[in-house]
Amino acid sequence: MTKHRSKPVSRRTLLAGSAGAALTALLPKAGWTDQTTTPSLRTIPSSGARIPAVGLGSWITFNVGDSPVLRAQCAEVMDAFFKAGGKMIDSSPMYGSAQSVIGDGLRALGRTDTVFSADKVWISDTDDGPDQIADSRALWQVPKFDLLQVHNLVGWEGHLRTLFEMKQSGHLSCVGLTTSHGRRHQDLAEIMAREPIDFVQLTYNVRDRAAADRLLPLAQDRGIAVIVNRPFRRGGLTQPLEGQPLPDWAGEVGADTWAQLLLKFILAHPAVTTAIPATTKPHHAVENLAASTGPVLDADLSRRLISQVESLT
Amino acid sequence: MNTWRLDTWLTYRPEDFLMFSEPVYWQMIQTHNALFWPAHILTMLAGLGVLVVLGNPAGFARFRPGLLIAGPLAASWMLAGFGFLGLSYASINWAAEWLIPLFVFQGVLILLGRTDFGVGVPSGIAAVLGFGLLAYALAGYPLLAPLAGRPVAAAEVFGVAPDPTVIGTLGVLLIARSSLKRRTAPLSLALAISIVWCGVSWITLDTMNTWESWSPAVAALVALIGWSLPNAVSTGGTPKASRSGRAADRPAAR
Ligand SMILES: NC(=O)c1ccc[n+]([C@@H]2O[C@H](COP(=O)([O-])OP(=O)(O)OC[C@H]3O[C@@H](n4cnc5c(N)ncnc54)[C@H](OP(=O)(O)O)[C@@H]3O)[C@@H](O)[C@H]2O)c1
Repeated sequence: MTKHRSKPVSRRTLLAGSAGAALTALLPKAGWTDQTTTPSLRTIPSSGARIPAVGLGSWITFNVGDSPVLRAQCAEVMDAFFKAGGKMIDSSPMYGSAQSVIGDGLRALGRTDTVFSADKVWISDTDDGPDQIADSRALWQVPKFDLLQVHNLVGWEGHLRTLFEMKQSGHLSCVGLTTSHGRRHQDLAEIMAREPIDFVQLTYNVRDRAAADRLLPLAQDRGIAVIVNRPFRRGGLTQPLEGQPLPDWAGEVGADTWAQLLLKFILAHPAVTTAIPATTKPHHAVENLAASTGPVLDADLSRRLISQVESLT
Repeated sequence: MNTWRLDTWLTYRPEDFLMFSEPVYWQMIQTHNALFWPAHILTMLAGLGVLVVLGNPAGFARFRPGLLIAGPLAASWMLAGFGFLGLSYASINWAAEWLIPLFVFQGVLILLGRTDFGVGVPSGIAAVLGFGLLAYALAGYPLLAPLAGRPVAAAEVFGVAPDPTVIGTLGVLLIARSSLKRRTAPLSLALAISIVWCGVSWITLDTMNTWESWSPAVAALVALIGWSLPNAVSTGGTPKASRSGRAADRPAAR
């Protein structure tokens, strides 16, 4: 597996880089810098700490390799995200260069203390977990992780032992597990029922609602925070909705775009702590955070949104 | 509770494994080209040299034509393996590192099978298809980038990028096979490895929804057709023998 160690990019390099400069010049036109609404916060049940209800994913979008131009663009997304009040960034050793892109961005932006760092351990030999975690931390350039999750339940028993030990010794704040695409819900439910985990990460969106049957109520019962991945089905929801007229009630819930409606649907579930859309665009990061503000969808509007989205996607 | 479960694996689709976007992939190729420039000139010249020797092995009989063909071809696989996969592709796809041994193995295999190359004058449909593939790899493949609206600096060149290297190799293998009495083990294995890469590349490009995905797929198909055709040598073709062929595989000298 590649240990992606690139040369660190300084803030000056980022902003002086041609793409960085070009992008910075474009940003005011995009209008996101005017948005100052602070995102709403939700509580992590096990710790009582509060985090913004929308975070930032990094699968594909931040895996840009060594290209300084593309790395600078990712830093611009992170910059916009933090300026709009964002905190949680989610990544994994599975995501190619994403961890080092995040690490370089955090350092260049001076945000290593602001970020809520949510990473994963993803290696089948659980004895290698601590080394992988140490490599990941070096790439993120953070003193310690706020959350480490067992990625897709790979080697979950051994990795959980490691993570609980790290938490006990003060080297980690929260422990979690992830799944996605509706996979292995039964296994996850069994683990949630018996292990003292702080977070679960799962897929839940307007089209993929299986988590609401069992996992979300179980998380509420057990006091486990929930991170929602694939809120837009990796663009499979946002793309077909582009250009489609918004429902006439969208304004009532303070949604200006389909993306915001899709996020509001997710955040309407009381078990959800945060949704983590990924984006390559700074103004989308801001738009997504803004979706956490204003009224949430009630049951009736949620149902209407489901049928509208199902007819359009 | 098992970590590995078949029913879970069956739910995965190719797009679940694609970990980078299309623009990032092309940008990676452009960055790789900048890193290796001007090696492209040398690799292209090496490819042209292979083409010339294959066309007239007898003319190079004094210089061991098998080695003149196998040497640059093997070096191209090594360069594409260590250079492209190891230095550049691995930066966006960690699985690329797993394929480096395959590229190295292929390079060694081609060197070991050197006496199967340049054995005689290529003939028959397999040779025509082979020359077509090699010419496409050398002259056609680099045009795909500008045709798709990408800069020339992002062109994929034989010996530097894997796809044209592999397609060129398929051509060389077909040409070599056309002048042998039977399909030898090193050439057959080298063909299989090249086809595997074409499959990997086709799935990657197709999952990214790029129109170029037809390229490795068609090349593999053409190579398989050419490979399975009855041998021109054993069916009455009249290739000339060179000094480099092994007795068992050489066509009867006239
Ligand atoms: N097993 C696991 O642990 C697991 C599995 C899957 C995902 N995840 C995590 O969850 C994160 C999110 O999931 P995902 O990346 O698969 O997909 P996603 O967030 O559902 O969708 C990302 C897509 O949505 C688009 N988008 C974002 N904001 C938008 C907006 N405001 N308007 C229109 N389009 C917008 C983006 O395009 P633009 O670039 O154009 O904005 C991007 O193509 C991942 O990045 C990863 O961190 C974890």
